[in-house]
Amino acid sequence: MQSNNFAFKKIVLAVSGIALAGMMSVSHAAVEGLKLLDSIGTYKGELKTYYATKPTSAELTERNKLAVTLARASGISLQQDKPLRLNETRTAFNSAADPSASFEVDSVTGNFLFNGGLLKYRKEVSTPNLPQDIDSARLASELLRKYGLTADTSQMKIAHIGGLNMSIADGASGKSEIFEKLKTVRFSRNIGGLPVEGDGRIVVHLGEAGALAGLVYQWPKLEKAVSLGSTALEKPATIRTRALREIEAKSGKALRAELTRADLVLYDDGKGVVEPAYHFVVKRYFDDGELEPVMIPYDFYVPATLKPQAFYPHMEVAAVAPKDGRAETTEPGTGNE
Amino acid sequence: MKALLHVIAAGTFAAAATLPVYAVDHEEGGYAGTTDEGHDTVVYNFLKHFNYQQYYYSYKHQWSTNNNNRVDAMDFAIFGGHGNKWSISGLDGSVNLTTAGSSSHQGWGNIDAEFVAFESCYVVPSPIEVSDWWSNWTGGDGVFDGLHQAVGFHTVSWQSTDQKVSDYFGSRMANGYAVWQSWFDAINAKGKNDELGSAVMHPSSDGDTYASFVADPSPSHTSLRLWYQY
Repeated sequence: MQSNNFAFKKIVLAVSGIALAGMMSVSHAAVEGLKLLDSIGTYKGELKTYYATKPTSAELTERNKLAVTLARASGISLQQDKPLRLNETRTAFNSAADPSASFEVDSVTGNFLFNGGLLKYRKEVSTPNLPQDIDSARLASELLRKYGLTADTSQMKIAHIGGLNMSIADGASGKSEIFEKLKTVRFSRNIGGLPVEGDGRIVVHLGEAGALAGLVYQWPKLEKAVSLGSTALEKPATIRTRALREIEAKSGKALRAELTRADLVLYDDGKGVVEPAYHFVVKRYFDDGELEPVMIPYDFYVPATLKPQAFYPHMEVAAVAPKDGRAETTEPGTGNE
Repeated sequence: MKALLHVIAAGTFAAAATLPVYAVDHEEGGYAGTTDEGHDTVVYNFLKHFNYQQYYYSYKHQWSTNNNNRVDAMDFAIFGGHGNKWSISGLDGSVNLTTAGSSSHQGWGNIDAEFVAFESCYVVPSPIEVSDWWSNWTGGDGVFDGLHQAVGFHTVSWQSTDQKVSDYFGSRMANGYAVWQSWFDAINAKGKNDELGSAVMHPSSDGDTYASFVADPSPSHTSLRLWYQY
């Protein structure tokens, strides 16, 4: 009888254990939208990894000539005799007169950024004859053509039309004013039906009467493409497992969480590789002491390939860890500079 | 003589093109709001461009009751972590930025701080979200006590882009570019299309660079300017 009781207790404990384990995996149960993971591996089209064509020295010279042209059009001059190094591959020219102005080009991808200078927009007035939203995309496209930036229009999609505003306020009066400064058009890239995420984009800033005020051109030539057969692709079940592990790990402390995206995309790492990956977005709701929980999103990519060629955000890890920070030690700086 | 000049010119070019990362360098501090979501990388990617002074996980005292030894002991402080309107979350909870200047340490800028960057969602609201975007920054309890500029987002900011934004922004600061303008360039170049920057400042500091900035605004001022993308 005793042994039967012992066996019964063991069964009860085992059942309780299973129930407890089920309750403890709260994060799993709390995440909504996991059905989206079922779409992984269902894409029927051919997948490829694309490689940016490194610009020749002649093409980089052309970029520098473009810098002069754009700077002249914006009424600024760039110090092309004093190149700055922003990182291993990115060289910049700034302006002695306006420290917001810049032209910078990446030697691996040919990507570049131009800022025509914001000093002239500091006055508390709206920019005269700023284009209307409805005209902005057309004007942006015309400017790209004017400067010989002939991206394949079949790959271009309007991602956002917005702008830049200045607002001023004086607490004494309790009033504020808003001044419209620039219009902005952002184009995203789409290749073979898949959206390009990561660095790929064209952003055009329009100023007075639709003149070019700034430009981000991250649209590398992708002349080499390697087809990915089934043996080069990660198993859908493995991608699902990786994604679920990450979703649960990052949602454990949330009041609730919802997976809202599990999309196959092409990830442009900005270093010359564009390859298939899954992009996951989780909306997490935390108690921040407010009446309503605050939504803190979390997103990440999982490579679709067995041997990823791109450099993904999760691959970058700080070389040095922060110090603890709890102790309220005295650690004054060297004083006001 | 001309040949010599050519050699010197070529040398100048080479030197300029391989500038050390510490071209502009004052005192920099970085504070990571989580231990397991990559915010250390976000913060470090800014700090690595400098010979930085402080690099901590973020706790409330650093921004409030002990800020004279932390954020306000730095010329440039950056936070990477979760945020909300006028609020940032560290390892011991949230800092309410509308009252963080209420202790004996006051706000930021009465000691040293010139610039603060929030690589976080929502921290710097714009007129799109709130009609009164300014009052919470100034006054007796606010954090603008000589601070020049605070840059951040009035929208979400995404994990997958945060460390690229801070890296790019850091490289610009270390090369003496204008501050808020570089923050917006970094978002334009690295952010997603729903990440929209905002930058609040005393109007006199609008043209500040990290290499050259105006005298500290009065701690008692209530005049602010906000630039925001939409």
